[in-house]
Amino acid sequence: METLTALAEADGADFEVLVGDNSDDPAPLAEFFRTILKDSRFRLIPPGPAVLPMVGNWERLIEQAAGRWISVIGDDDHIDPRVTGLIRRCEVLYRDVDAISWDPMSFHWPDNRPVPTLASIPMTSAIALRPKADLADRLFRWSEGRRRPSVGVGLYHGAVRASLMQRIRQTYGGRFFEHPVVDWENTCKVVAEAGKIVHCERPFSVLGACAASNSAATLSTETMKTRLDIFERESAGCISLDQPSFPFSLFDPGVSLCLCIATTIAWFCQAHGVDQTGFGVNFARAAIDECRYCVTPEEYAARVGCFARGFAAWEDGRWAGHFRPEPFKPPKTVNRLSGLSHDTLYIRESGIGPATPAAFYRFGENAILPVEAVVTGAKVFAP
Amino acid sequence: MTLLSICIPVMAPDPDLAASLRQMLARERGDVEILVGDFTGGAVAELLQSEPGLGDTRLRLVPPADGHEALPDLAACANRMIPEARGAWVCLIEAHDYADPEICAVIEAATKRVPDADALSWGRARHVPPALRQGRDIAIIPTGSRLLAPEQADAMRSQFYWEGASDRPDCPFGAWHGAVRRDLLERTRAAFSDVWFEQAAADIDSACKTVTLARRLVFWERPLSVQGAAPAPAATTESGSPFADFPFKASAGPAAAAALAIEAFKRRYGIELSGWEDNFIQACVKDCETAATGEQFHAKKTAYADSILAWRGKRALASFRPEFRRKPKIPRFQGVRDGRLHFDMAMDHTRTAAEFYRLIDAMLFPVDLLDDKLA
Repeated sequence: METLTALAEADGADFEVLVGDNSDDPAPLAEFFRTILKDSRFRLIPPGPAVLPMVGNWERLIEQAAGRWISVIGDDDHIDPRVTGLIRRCEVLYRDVDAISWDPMSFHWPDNRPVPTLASIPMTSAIALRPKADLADRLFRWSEGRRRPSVGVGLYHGAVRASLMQRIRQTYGGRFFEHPVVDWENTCKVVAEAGKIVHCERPFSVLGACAASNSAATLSTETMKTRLDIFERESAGCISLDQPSFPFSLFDPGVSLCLCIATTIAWFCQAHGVDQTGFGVNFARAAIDECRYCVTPEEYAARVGCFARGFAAWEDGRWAGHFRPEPFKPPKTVNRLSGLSHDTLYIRESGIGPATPAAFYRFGENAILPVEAVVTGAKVFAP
Repeated sequence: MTLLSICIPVMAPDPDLAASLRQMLARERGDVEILVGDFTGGAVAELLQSEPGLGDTRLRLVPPADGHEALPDLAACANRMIPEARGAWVCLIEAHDYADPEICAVIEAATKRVPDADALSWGRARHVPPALRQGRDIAIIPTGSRLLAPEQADAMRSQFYWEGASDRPDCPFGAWHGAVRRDLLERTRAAFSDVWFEQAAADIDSACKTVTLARRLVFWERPLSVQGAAPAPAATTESGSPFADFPFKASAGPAAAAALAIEAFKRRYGIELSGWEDNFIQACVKDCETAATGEQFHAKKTAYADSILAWRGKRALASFRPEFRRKPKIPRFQGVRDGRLHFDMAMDHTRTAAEFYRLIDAMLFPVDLLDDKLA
């Protein structure tokens, strides 16, 4: 509700907010809409008879979206509705653009700081076309070999033209979404099907992580395992997270986000015949990179073991020789290195005031180019 | 052993002083002392007794002298405080400023690598309280965290020749928002006028003497203190320039004020330099261009132009070409440029220099990791 209240503060009339209530009690949100929100730009999609898997919830929301462009965020995130200005600018600069990405800020809610945490604000603001071939390399072949492919394209904290989503539905068996890891599945489909993809470095949204969210799992392996169990249970009837052709277990104690992403990419490429030349070696490099981020020897042993068992079983151990993780090296610091690094400002969250992603966005906007300067392409600034 | 004395002369009661002191005392360093000089006639002494959280042996009061002597300026107050300071290093700030006691960690890291360092300074950060802002104020702070050992000659060129100057010399050394070894302070006193701070403009006075006498300078790019803006003093009739052949008035702006203090230092000690004039005129240009309104810009421009014309004639005036660019339709830059972060001072609603430091501390390289970084 805090997210909705913050969105309702925006002035524009050129956006709608669809709220997919997927809880088992429709009353609180319905009451909030009726008595507090009272804003015609907001539409509530009430829960069905049973809680839907995330795939189903996203599917029904996209079906009802009326906008020319669509973006999806979580209920603990924030998006600036003035992103419509960015969309218009991209439409002018790049005719036929059908996917726009941006670099989001990140923020931990105060209830999700079991250890020191850092928020982040991308500081640059250029807008540029992203070559599709390069994105496909980074994603399907994991060419960078880092723990996450730096792609960031798709509905989730990005914008996709509604017509592209319709094309995706027609191409992929009459559904927008199939795989339980909907955000990365959508990234795969958008990279595969989009004509033009544009990236804006300036953030227009905040990835929030509260204690109850899936993203809280990034701070704790234990939380990650619990969330995956719930996720699998709620995704009953969907495509299984465990795929025989990619026999890495997501229910292993050493599971990581890197592995979730790999599982999704591998599923998509196999199911839809996408060339993955180089993926085996590059994923092994990514797995090694993921192991570098372990904080304790126990976590390292579990993560290495999880990857090692998967590589041993995958294609008769064909890529196992490439997975040679470096010995465990305890990190000098964990989440303490605030400051500017690679054009991103990292901020120790214990030292600042904002308590919600919307407040953090407003906070961060003081240090990045104003929306108006971005959408007008301002190049001259007063001293 | 006390490594650092942070000296804060208080010349007028300040409602935010207690919070600022509490923030300093929250740092768990045992090798720092915070010396607060009461030049208000007793208001500070009362504050320290009545405010909670200030009962800390690291906080000491330099009480008002008998009969409540009214001291005229920062330099006079600082001179009263220096004999009371126990630290091996001394840092001087004002009541509306802030300094981080973790300066001690930087002194340790610096002297481990440059044992004979006797003057340490750091990146500048300035804060304007909301009530004193004229529209949007953009803070500019460095984002680097390199520990540098500048050559004395380079620092002297910055201070006396205005090399790389903004609207003031780009020379951060001295006790004011810097730290100097006690030994250097005593050498300064002995070498010059038998006092530690001589001119009313204690900042420039200290910078001139420090860069002249220091054995080794060390500079950390990361800010460790904040200069808080104070309300402008009540208008006084400035009779004219103190020097007939350098007809600038301090009221014209920071460039003129700094130049007058440097001139005073040079003339007092018979230092004659040439070749700094063009750089100084460009600092005057920048001073004009910081004006928030067209009215202020034109007032500054006229004042500087008159002075430059009277000082060096029409030829010098030809290079004085300030432009008023802070027009409402032109956006102010926010983001990172040339390694410096530009951000709206409204960020996180900070009211005081202490609150502003809390914000930038969270956004910059952690002080306590410096030694690890250099290891």
